[in-house]
Amino acid sequence: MNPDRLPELPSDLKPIEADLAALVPASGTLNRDELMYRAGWAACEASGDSPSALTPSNRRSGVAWLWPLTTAGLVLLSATLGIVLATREPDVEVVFVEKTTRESSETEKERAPAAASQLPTTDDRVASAQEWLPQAPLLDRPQTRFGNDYLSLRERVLAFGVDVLPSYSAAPATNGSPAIGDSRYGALIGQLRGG
Amino acid sequence: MLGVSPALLGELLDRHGAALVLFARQFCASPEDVVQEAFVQLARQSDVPDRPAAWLYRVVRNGAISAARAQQRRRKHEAAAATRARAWFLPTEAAQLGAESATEALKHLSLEEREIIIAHLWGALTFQQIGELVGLSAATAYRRYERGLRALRTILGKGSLARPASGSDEHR
Repeated sequence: MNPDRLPELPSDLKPIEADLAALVPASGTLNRDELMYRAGWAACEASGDSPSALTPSNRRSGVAWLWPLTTAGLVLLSATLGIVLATREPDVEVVFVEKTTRESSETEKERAPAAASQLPTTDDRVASAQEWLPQAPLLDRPQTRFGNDYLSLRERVLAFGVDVLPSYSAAPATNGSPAIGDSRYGALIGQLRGG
Repeated sequence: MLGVSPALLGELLDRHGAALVLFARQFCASPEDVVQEAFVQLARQSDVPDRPAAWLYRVVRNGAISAARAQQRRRKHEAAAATRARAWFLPTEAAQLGAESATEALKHLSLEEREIIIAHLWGALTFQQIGELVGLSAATAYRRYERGLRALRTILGKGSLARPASGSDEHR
């Protein structure tokens, strides 16, 4: 039988054929949207393209590689810098500062002139003694030819010996001072002279 | 892309989707999954098949048979129950036959007769395409089709399965 020349369907079967053809098959749970989505995804995969790379902003191949290349470059740079930081020698300069010693020496240097300037000179001492001498009534104040300058007398004694001491005389007290008689001054002079 | 365009895919789905589900339902309990996978496979094709509908029926048939084998291994009884539970046709007022009675009548046919009737009536495949699909000659497919229709007329003509107000006997 030639397939192109199939006999026509008998007329008694045409009504049942028409009745059956009028029935609408149920599509069941076939989801058109899901099917079209999956089909589109499969078509992209079959064509060799990644479906996620087909967004309008990434369709240009150069732009699609921009961010991956940038990310890879930055990762490489970060890794290199990290390795350099981890392996390089520590560049630390140790400086010893003797702060305390320097300050003390400086302080001493600064204080030395001031202290020297504040030290009383011999004249100051003499003047001070002369100020205090009248206010010491209990001391025996010699009434000599040198006057009341005890220090001058002492210097002379130290320079030339006790011979320069004035001769002892039992002079009466003057100026309200106690009389130099058998006082300790006289005894002292005597001892100094070897007596 | 030289493959199937979305427009063609949508057109095929609208025109043959439900019939393909009915066709796959003759073999397995998950016809929707099989049909969906067939359309996905069609979308993967780099070149559009010469006869997309016939291509889809062949892919659905192979997929449904494979699914049925897997289901029989796993859940034989559950698959049979699912097949019985789902309606094959939508209830419409325009149809002279009731959806349930037509379904029951079709179940009385052999699997080979059912798939030929479904492929020709609702799939609009030629007997040549059906013969290629099921591995028969076009003439043999036609004879099986005619034999199936006679069996259906006999079953529905008994009145037990026909819709009472259908008046289908008037057409015979």
